[in-house]
Amino acid sequence: MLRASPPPPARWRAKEPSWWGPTNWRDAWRDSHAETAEKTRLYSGVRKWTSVLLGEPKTSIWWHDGTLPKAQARENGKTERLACPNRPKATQQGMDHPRCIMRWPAACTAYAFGIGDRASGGWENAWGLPIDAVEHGCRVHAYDPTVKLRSRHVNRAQKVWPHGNVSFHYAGLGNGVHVNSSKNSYGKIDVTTLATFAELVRTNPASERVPGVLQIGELASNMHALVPVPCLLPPSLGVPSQIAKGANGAPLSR
Amino acid sequence: MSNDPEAVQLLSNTAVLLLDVHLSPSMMPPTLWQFVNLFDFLFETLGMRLGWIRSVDGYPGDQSVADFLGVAGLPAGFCCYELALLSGRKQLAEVTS
Repeated sequence: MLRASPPPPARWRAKEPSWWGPTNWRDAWRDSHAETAEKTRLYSGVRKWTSVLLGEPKTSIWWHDGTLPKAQARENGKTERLACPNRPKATQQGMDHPRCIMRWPAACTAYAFGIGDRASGGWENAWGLPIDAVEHGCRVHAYDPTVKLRSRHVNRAQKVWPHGNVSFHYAGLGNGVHVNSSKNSYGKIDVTTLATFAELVRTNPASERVPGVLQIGELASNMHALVPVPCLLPPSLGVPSQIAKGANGAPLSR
Repeated sequence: MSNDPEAVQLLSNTAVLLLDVHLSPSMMPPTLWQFVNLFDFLFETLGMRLGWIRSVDGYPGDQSVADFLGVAGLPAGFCCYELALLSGRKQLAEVTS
């Protein structure tokens, strides 16, 4: 579970000097220490997890088999690290993502949030996980709350998977508290369709509620659903302004 | 999800988690708090481990990174990272109880 954030020392700054007494000083001192400790944790955490993204040798412990894959050179001079022996060489970047899955779960149910609409690679690029999951015998639930993509996705799912292996749901991940944004990379989203992960899963048949494979695309717009920002957190710790306000634009109360 | 015991339980049964993490300022990057707590949650709370990482170039206008990530050493040139996380080894009893 996420740890609770410390109370914001900013609440002390609003007090008049004449208000301060020994107890208040002590409490403010404690709160300031807590805030500094939290910032220290966050900044050391950024270095730690950034080193994982960079593939530094000491980060091998965070890999599944305890081994850091070799960096692979790409044609444009950049590198990537893949523990992906099944990767097809002839596919475009982005299309082979699910194909790196070495072992698909038995009795598999796959959930794909944020289907989207890729500019390159055709519809197969956006629907990469459902395509591969069905090939491996999975039942798939696909979600996207983007208004302008709704009919396209509904038609696609019905046309390509007429036997119902893939169900498209016009819905998106929310955190059940407040709305992060009414847009994603593809345009306006229908915020009335947002629900928590558990709520969305609960609407499906009981036998399909264990997400053996889960894809969360568009993590930017889904981040608030994964790690909800506590409303108590002060802006100095990085709460985006659109999150610090309620759905109607009013500041969230403490 | 991370503060919902039911969602945590569901995630603990997930064998493969595919994430597309956007880190460019032009693509709604995570905040400092979100970035750290996302990784803490996935790796330490759920005990998931990496299956692969792939950097994604993105469009030229999306190839810088958020300031706090650049300061921490993450290079520009990629908009995003695709991560595949494989099921964790940690018992989740203490976080779902």
